[in-house]
Amino acid sequence: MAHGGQRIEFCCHAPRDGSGVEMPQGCSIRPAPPVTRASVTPALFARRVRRYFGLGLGLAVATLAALAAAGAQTLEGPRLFQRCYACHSLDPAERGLSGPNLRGLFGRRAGTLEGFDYSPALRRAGARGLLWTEETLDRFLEDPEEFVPGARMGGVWLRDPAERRALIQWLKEAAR
Amino acid sequence: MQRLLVTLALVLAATSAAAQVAIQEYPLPPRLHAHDVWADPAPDGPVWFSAQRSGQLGRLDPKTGKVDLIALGPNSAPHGVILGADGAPWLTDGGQNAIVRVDPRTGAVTKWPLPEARGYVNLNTAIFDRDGIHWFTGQNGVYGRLDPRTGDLKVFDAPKGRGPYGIHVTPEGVVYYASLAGSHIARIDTATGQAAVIEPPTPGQGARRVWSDSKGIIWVSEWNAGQLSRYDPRTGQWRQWKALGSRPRVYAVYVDERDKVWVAEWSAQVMLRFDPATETFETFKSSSATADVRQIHGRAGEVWTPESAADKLVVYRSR
Repeated sequence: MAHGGQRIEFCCHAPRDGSGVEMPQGCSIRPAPPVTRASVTPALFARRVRRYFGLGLGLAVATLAALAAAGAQTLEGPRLFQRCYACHSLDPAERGLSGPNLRGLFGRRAGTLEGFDYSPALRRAGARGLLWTEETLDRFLEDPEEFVPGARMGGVWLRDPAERRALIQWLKEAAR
Repeated sequence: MQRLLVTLALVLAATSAAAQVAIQEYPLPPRLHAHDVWADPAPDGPVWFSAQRSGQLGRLDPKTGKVDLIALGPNSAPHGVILGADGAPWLTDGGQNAIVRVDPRTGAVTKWPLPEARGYVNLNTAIFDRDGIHWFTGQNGVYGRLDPRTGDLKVFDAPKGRGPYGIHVTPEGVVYYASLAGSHIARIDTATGQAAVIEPPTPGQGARRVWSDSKGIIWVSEWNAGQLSRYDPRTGQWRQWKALGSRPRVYAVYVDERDKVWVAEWSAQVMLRFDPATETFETFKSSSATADVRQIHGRAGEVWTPESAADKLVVYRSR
């Protein structure tokens, strides 16, 4: 995934002043992801620019590209969360909505938030082991009734995989 | 396509000998998730429904059981459907973030998108007032008005944020909506567009839908509290009646032409008919183990329900 590639490239950058600051563990031995259109990360692009235009311009381009990517996600997440907002909150103090509170969603077993009256289908899915992860949330948001028949999250889905990715990546931070 | 018409002809024992009800079930194509329903007032007239999952308007002919479906557009996910004075079905289409009208003769679809600056408002339900203005709710914290003659569309911030859900109008033309997340009802001044909050006595009750009776009394389905409640605008007085069961959930409310109040209760998956004179509930159940009835509408002698979880329309005929 492009996002993972981007993270590897940035964490593996050696300090430019030669101060010998220790790199994060594991960075030096991770293989670079295959170079596809999707995996041309801001840093990789910057390296290519640097090769031709020098270090300063490369750094500037990398910074701008990273800011643009982060900015797009920051803007896209809240926009997509409007789909969820009527029934779900990220504020742990805000209970009593018609959907469960989403704070701490990732890693939570489905149908188990204390005090929330889930559909029988979601309680059963949780009892069978459904955990909310990037992958399960992606499948659920694509078609909730298909993934958990009887879940009762009617009328809300995201058919576009890119939108689901953007929402889930944003939620990983916002629901933490 | 010919559809099998299933007649259960269940005549259920009611508390009074005269109050007998026959239930008839109409199967729908699978995976439609019929959310709301609206019966044409003419006897044997068509029954319209919003097929939320498939993004379509449905039309059932009760005489034959035939179902016609009309696609509403890309990303459509209609929540509510009502019939206008023009004889056309109007939908609140959450997926398209637009008010949608379908010409009943040609099937032509006309859309009034909400202003882009408002973002996604989660359109919910609508009603026409006596002047032909279309009032609608959006669960993300808005309500609004559309004048179909001019296309003028205004969106207002709901006074307490997210929650606006069911909406109805009294015979005098006063518009009320319920706020599910806000746990209140509100009265809209149709001249100014301002909404005045009216707080039910039960905190956090989750007022989901409202319906006026013939005298302008407002009946409210309270989801969280599992109650049917009654608000008298003339006195400001409230009454509540809890549905049966250990943890009832009351989703939809509708008042029939005899001023009997119907509600959909989800814990036991039953329909309840409340008699305000005796303050008693009668219970009716279709053959569906899980029906998930989200809205109710009717016409003389008939109460129609969309069973979103069972892909059926079910009619309760009073004799």
